[in-house]
Amino acid sequence: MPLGVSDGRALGSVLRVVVTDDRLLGEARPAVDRVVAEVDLACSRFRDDSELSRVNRGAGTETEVSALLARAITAALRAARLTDGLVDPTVGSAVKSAGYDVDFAEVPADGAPIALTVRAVPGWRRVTVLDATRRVSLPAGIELDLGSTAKALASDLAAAAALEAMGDGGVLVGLGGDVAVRGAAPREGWHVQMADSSEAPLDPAAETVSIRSGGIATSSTTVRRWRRGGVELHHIIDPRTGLPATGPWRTVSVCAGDCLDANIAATAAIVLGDSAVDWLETRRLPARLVDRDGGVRRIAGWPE
Amino acid sequence: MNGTKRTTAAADRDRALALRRRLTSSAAACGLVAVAALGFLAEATHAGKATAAAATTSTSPSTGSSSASQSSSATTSGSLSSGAVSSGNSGSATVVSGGS
Repeated sequence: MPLGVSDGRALGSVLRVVVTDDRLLGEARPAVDRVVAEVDLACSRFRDDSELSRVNRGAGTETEVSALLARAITAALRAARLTDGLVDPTVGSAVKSAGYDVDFAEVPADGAPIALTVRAVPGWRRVTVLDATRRVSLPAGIELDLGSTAKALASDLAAAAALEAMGDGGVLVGLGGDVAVRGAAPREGWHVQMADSSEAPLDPAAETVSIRSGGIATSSTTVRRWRRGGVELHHIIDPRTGLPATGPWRTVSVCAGDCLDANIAATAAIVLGDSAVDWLETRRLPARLVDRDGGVRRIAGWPE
Repeated sequence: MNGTKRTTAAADRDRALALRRRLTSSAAACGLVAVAALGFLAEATHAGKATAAAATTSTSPSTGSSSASQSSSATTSGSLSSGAVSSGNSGSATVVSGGS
């Protein structure tokens, strides 16, 4: 049975949907589009009409949110807890201060010097989500950025929704490099090409791995970069300093039980820097780490 | 005569008080043993499971919208879930995983 493939763009990234039976693409793609649109409306910090923007504007008070946003914030807080704050949703103000204050397509590639202050972000422990009432409490001065986890969560949710719509077979959803698979995999698994950027074209010479379940996510400092006063900046903020991470790894890919966990681990590894190898091996997370010079290290079961 | 009766009554009272103390102590000891035994039995047969508090950083997912109800197991897990990856065939990739 030929694979069915459908491409597009969503959440400012490339979107690819692949199904094991091309006849089921008509059911899968609308389900994916619906979920991604819902996540965008709930979690975007660049849309004035998004729920997240409303929560950020309401900092200092409690805000009632949808089940989806409550889940996304809960997922982000879980990411922070499991990484001891290396992946922290309260980096919103720090990302803005570094110059990433509008949709990335509108961020000038170069510009005048800006003042950057080394200061830890406010911290995820100050954010609360009351499950019973779906009320989010955000202290004044804190701004949430769910970018690190919301896209991966969208991939997981979209793949699950697509599989439910299809009723049979298997599906892969790749959203900006965050890859989630659900259902029955093709006989040889889902083949995923590794790259610094999710915008890279498919390349027969590139490293390719195979998964049958869960997900793969990649975080990289080589994308979403800009320059201010001659200094290169990027979008992955180290919550301990409030500045772009400066570790030795430029790109980290992780395979995990789902795309969200893979994304959490990949981002944490970029922020953690030198200690990332031990951190990932301790958690038995297969990973591929690329250093600034292009050297590749594969650990915890990642194929050589 | 009256003195003998008073002595007898006092002795009876002392015996009665001593008996009451013994009964009270025995009842208390039996009660403690019974509570401990019942506690042990309850723990052994209904151990239960710890749950997170409802507030603050709860790990329970909310549900409601159609997409939110599509559960991802790791969203609620207390640790990062591991995955399995193997070598793929170069040239057969269907998707790229990279930064975005």
